[in-house]
Amino acid sequence: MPDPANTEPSNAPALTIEGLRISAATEHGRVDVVDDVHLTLRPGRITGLAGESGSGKTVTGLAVLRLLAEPTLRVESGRILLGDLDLARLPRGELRALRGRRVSMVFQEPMTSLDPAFTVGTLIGEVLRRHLGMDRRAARERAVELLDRVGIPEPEKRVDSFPFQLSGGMQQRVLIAMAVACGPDVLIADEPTTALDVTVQAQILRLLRSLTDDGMAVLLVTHDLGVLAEHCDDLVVMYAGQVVETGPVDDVLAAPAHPYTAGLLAAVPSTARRVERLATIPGTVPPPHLLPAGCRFVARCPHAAPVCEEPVTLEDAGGGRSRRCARAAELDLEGVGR
Amino acid sequence: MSTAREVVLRATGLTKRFTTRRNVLGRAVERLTAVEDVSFELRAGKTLALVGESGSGKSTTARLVTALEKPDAGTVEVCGTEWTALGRSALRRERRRMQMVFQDPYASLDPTKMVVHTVGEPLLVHEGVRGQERDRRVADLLERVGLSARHLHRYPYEFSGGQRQRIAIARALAAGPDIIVADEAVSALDVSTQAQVLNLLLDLQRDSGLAFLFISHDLGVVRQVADHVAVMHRGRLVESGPADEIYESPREAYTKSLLAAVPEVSPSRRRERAGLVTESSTGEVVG
Repeated sequence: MPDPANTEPSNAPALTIEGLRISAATEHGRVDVVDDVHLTLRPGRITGLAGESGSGKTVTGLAVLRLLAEPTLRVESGRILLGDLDLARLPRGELRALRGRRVSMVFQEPMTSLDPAFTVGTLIGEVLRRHLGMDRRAARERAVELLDRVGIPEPEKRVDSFPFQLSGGMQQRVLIAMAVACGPDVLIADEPTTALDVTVQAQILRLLRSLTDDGMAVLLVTHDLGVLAEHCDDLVVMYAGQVVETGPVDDVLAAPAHPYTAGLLAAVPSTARRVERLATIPGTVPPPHLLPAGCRFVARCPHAAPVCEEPVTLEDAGGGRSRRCARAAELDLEGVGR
Repeated sequence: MSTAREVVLRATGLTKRFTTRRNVLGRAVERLTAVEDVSFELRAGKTLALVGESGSGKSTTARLVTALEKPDAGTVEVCGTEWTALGRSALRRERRRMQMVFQDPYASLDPTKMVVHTVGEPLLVHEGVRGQERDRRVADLLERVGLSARHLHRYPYEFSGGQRQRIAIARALAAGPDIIVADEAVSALDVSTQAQVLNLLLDLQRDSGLAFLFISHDLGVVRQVADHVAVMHRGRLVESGPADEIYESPREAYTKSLLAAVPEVSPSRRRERAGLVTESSTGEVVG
């Protein structure tokens, strides 16, 4: 857990990404897959990162821990600030000391993330021994406490289980226990519940929420808008490698400022009522080597106008919100009822 | 009208057990009952959704219904013919009546085959159609699923996930089926693409009277397509009925807890749902 002096949620950001640009080597040459991404994670808050496949949300998350598959993917410019440290420039050795200690990550598929050859206790203990220098016995005791903290029943028994003996939900809890073992400031969770059943998903998301009580900041990366609506505080929407909209989640959902956000919200199938015809966003996301110079959503946007052919920046809209739409001020987009 | 429609698929008392452990003599000593006494009916032009969590037996049920797996008990009747009583060659001839669309369009299409061959294969097998006639028929099918004749000679890797799923649907349609079994057919797609494919399925059903057995864990998607819903839990059907009834007044605690766990985008609808489901039924189920 974080040290006591740090538990008060303050307004200082836990992590800031500024102007991040990441390129990828493709058959069409080196192209940008993430461009001009800005986001801020605050202590005790869950920030949702939304977007469809190919939007750059996963690459952004991986870049924070410098887990990009180099040299195919490469950070070209921008800063990733953890306090005074720029993670994008930090020497490898220093970075390794931070991973799992101050910034951690949880992935989608728990079974492929856990080493099947070791018990749960060993896996969690490894983190504690490496970063905090605990001995075997202390690490095991702490592992039991952590298993209890992430809601695993009979932790004294489970600590000796192998990953295959646990259900998917339990495995994900173990992974979270490993990630939070050293009380990191920031947790990046990339689609942590996508492989899980809905009832288990709800439990895992409640667990993430309870972990922020100690001041940890969470970046929740997911394509599931329902999950984001229910479980995050702030929302960042990405499209084709760029952030197109940010703000407090309820405000964004009630009155989206970007036509892409509005289109996504309309396309989500609700359990509440059957509609005559589902709203769709026509077309598909353009591939990175065929992006237009202006707004990247222009070819699919129902509100496209000549002004949209010009490059557009992410601009501050007040109320903690920002947007990347040349016509935002004149559009009145429909959200979901409050 | 709807009640008078003929039953195209009838499953009666389907049961399937898998052996999970054998003794030294090779005798089964431990068995897992994956599906137990599952019965349902699907009528022409209608959609029945089979919903449930992983391990509930919905995919095993799909495999039993499509005769990819033999049941230990129970029967499957397709358009009046009892499939479970058919021999191999007779079953082969009948298979065109019921086609499948699978979850992962990256795995379900042969990467070495051009679209014209993938979609044209059922035409060749069932009708002996080949050459220019086949090309013409495949082009028609591609247009029905929102693709076009210029895609005929392309390979799967040239298509996006949504387009691949359209190709899989065109292949299913090529056999001229009465029933399409869609096993998590839109689960791998992004929401905007997912909505396009769902609309396509609804259009096809309206135009040609296809019946769908729609297997999904996504209750929001099911709400948009299903006329009837059957909820599975631990291999059994716990509740089934018209979709509106299941969603608006579920009777079983399990159905309620399942509905309560679905994340909802709209805060007002979340409140409606909270009214529907009492606290007691949302209790923790340890995963």
